[in-house]
Amino acid sequence: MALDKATVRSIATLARIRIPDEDLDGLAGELTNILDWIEQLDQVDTEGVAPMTSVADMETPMRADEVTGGAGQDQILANAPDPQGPYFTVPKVVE
Amino acid sequence: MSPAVNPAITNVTATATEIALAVRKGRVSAQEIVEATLDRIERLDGVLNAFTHVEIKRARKTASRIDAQIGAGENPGPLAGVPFAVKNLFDIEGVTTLAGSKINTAYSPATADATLIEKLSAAGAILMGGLNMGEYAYDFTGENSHYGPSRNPHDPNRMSGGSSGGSGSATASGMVAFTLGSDTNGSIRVPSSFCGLFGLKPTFGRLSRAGTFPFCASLDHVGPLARSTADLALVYDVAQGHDPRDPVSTDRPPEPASGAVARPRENLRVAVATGYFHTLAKPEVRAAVERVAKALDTKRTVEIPMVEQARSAAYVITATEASALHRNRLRERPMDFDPDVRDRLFAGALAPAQWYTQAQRLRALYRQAFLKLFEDTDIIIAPSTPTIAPAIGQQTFMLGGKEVPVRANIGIFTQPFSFIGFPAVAVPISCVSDMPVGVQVIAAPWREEDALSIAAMLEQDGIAKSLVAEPEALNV
Repeated sequence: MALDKATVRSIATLARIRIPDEDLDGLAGELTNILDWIEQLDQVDTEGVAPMTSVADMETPMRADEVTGGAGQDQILANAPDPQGPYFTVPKVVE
Repeated sequence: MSPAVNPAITNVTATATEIALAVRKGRVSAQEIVEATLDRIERLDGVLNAFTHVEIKRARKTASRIDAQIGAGENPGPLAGVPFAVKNLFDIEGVTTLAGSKINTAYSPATADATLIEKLSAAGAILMGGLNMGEYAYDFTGENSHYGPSRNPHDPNRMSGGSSGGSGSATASGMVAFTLGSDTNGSIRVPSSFCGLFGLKPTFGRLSRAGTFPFCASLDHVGPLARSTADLALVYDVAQGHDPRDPVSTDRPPEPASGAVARPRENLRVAVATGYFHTLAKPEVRAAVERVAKALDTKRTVEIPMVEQARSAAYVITATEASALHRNRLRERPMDFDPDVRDRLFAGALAPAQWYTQAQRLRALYRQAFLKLFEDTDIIIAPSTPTIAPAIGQQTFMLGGKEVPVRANIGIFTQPFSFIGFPAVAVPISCVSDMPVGVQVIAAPWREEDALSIAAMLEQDGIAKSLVAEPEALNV
């Protein structure tokens, strides 16, 4: 299956990518190649096979779950322009 | 004035192992090595165009530190004084990481070295600079529309192979003892084949990619190119180890392979890949595979199932992942891409997600089938490339009786193995044609040691040999 320039332009618009006119021919060729590969892939029955996103097992690295000091209340409130007791004050937004 | 050059070291056939020994024994200083290396780069790189950046100051500074260590009776490490260079997608502190592109020249310089450069430097190796490559590693030719092609030292009118073209060119010309490259679909093994080098693409996740500019996260590997199996194993051993900065870096302990190269493992069960790998190879490439099979005394063959589909799936995953990575650059600066790369990235950006998922399903099936082959086999032999290096600029060649585009077809024998992360050593086979050509030795995941054992046996038998291209042979 070969794609023509008009089809490629319309796919590009849908993908929100502006393609320079002089690139449309080359691009139609590349997309047609991909279509050929997809036809090849479709020859294999992959029903029920989970997609393999990576050949390596990846785990999100976890840090140790420990109680740490953090900053004290005084230090945190020191950043606020107008603290009232243990509270931040903010401008009134609802009348 | 540069210090006098020790004649023993201007011998470019010196391998990393030989240089490190000479430096550690005090027979030559690291400074002499660096000056001889700079001389050679100065003399050859005008023709070969392998380097995009030479680290003169840093190399001299490192060399004097190593010489001071030797003077103080300390051991600078197993790679003491060995000059090396890296594909310019590796971060070098203070240098902008180009990844072969024009667009990246606008980015800030790297603030630290890539993990592998750190490890090699800590072992005494001396970084000489960054190397030319195909733009954003999307290439098998070694050509680059912004920086010019890196050239093949065995015939500068021919391709170095890509995308680690400068790595192939710099190592085969003896400008440095070894180089680092990256391999997503074949970018270490293709230049190794065209330039006549030993190249290692390890198991996916074995060597850290931290501090490298990516291409396709789920397919990218890094590894060395060298002129002997001992050097390949030595660099590989130094480079191993878990790195939390690369999410796919394995936490397996390092499994050193230098021992296996010195005393290759015997009784490995070897089979030669047939079908696709025979039909699509040119006669000189088939001859190289036959020489290897004969030397290893094997008549066993293996037909790899779904190999054409595997190649298609590798293409689809590459195009889609790479275009996702470059999407903003494609929108903002499309005309600053290499035209060949731009077309493929655009195509990837327009591919529906369902195609990508189908390719990943195929990958799971194919990997399962491939693992099964290794139940009664330890090693599979296959050619590295279907041809010797084509001429620079060549657009098509004949493959299996059909005229096909060069760019898309150089990697047909490498893609099916990197796609599922299996380790492979590219081995240069001597005396089958005027130009070198490579054969891949493929092992099961995490069995680099087996592949390197076979490569070392072939080297000891004289079947595999990496020849340095001498300057007088540069016919330009």
